[in-house]
Formats: sequence, C-alpha cells, structure tokens
Amino acid sequence: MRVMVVDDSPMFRAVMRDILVRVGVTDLIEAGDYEEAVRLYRKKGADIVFMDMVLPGKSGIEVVRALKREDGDVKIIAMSSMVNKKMILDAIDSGAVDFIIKPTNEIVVSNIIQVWGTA
Amino acid sequence: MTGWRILPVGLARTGAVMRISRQQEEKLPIRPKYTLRNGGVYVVFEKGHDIGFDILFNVLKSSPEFDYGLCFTRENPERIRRKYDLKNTSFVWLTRRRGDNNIPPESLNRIAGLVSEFVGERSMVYIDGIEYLIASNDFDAVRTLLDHLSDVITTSGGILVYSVDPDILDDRERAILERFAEVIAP
Repeated sequence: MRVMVVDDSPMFRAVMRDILVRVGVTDLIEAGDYEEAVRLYRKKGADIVFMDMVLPGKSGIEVVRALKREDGDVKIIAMSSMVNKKMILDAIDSGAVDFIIKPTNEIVVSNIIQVWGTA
Repeated sequence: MTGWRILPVGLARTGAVMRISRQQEEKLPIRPKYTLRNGGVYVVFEKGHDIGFDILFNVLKSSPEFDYGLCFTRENPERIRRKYDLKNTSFVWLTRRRGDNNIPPESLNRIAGLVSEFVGERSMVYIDGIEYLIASNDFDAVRTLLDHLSDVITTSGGILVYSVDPDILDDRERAILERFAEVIAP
C-alpha cells in the first residue's frame, strides 16, 4: 500500500513519516503543494492521501478535487489544525472520506490505515 | 436526556453558579477512531494532551453513543473550544485564577461533585492533566478521586478519559492507574 502526505510543513511531514513507519507503512511519498501533489500522484499514484486543507497557493479542497479527477477510488483524509465545520463538509463533498485534526497520533493513523487501506 | 441543565454546583460555598450543561454536541461526517464502551474508564499516558483532546473531539463529534461532554483542563477552555469546535461541551478550567467555571486544582471534592452531577448515559468526561492535580495535592488523594469517579462512571453509563504525563509517575503509581482504567495506546 502506498500512502501520500500533502502538507507544506516539512516538520509535520517528518512527524507523519515517523508515525506511518511505526504503523507499518513503508511506501510513502510526500508533497508540499498543489502542483507537486498532482504531479507526484500522476506519476506514482497512492492508495491513501493525507491532505492538509490549508496549503500555499491553491487550497486543499482544490487538491482533493484534482486527485479525485485523476482517480475516483483514491481515499483522501482531510487534515487541519483547527476544526472548521464548513471546511470539513466541503472536503467530504469534494471526495474526501474522512477528517482528522493535526497534530495526529499513531492510534488515529493506524485506525485509518486499517479501515481505508483495505477498503 | 436533552437540552440545557444548569447545575448549581458550589453555590453554597462560592455564591456563584457554575455553568455546566448537558447539551448535545453537533456531529460531523467523520469516522470514530477510538473504541470506547459505556461505563468505561480510560487513561492516556502522554506528555501534553494532544491524544486526550483528540479523543474528546472524535468521540463527541462522531460517536453515535456519546453526545454530552464535560472537560476539566489546565488549558484556557476557550482556546480548546475554538480549536475543536466543541460549542456545546462544558469546560472547567483547573486554575487558581478566579472565574465562573474555574476550579483550583486542590478542590478535588468539587471535581467529584461536578462529575457526579453531570454524568449519565451518552456522556463523556475528560480530565486533562492529572499530573497537575497530583502536584497540587498528592498521589493518594488523586487516586481516591479517580476511584470515586470510576464508581460513578461505571454505574452511570458514561465514559471517563484522563491523560497523565507518565514521567511524573513511579512504577507503583503507574500500576495503580492502570488498575483503575484501560490504557488507550496504539
């Protein structure tokens, strides 16, 4: 299973990388913005994408839509450091399958990998 | 039970009405990430409280079994309420600063009273920073509180979650806390 993390913070991506390795994910790709996310996804694909909703330039919602256009089956997990009901509903409407709040933890990531990694 | 219920806890001693309500938290279309059962008592060993607050958020916003939240915290409650969008959850600030919903950490009996008044079916109580209570009292006093709360929760049908910094506990104290509660861990 390949997992993609889209977040403009290298520090947060490092934290996610550490958590994902601990829950058994070794095939991991990372992107810091819209263009890199779309380019990497076209090139390599991913089963699950952890997507920050606040990115420089285009928003996370636009990235969700772009990736869903590339692959309707991709499982996108929206992330944000603050709960915003409208943003969560927009993300779900755009094709995200779930939402988690940052910073996240091994319990949550493990749960997501188990549920969506086999879906 | 639905709607508002203002509990006049501490009225006789302070003259103030602490605004603790049982008001249903609004759900979001997200999946539950933690498996907690009615009447359960859970402990999270963590530095800080990110997992604890994530449990509070995730349970109240996604679980079909739990709707009403009461949180005791060392953090400014308004900051927590905004970050997690917990509009209807009641917060009690564990601080020596005066305020309507503030309780000094030495007042373990008031914490016990508030929890007893609040809990019932479909309710969740979260206590952030047990180490602060231990530092302000002593371990045995906090153990007595948790023992009492465990009895209250077990018979009420709600759930109790608390987080504690493992670095302040010795092996005996950690073992005692693990006897009181199920450990939430990956």
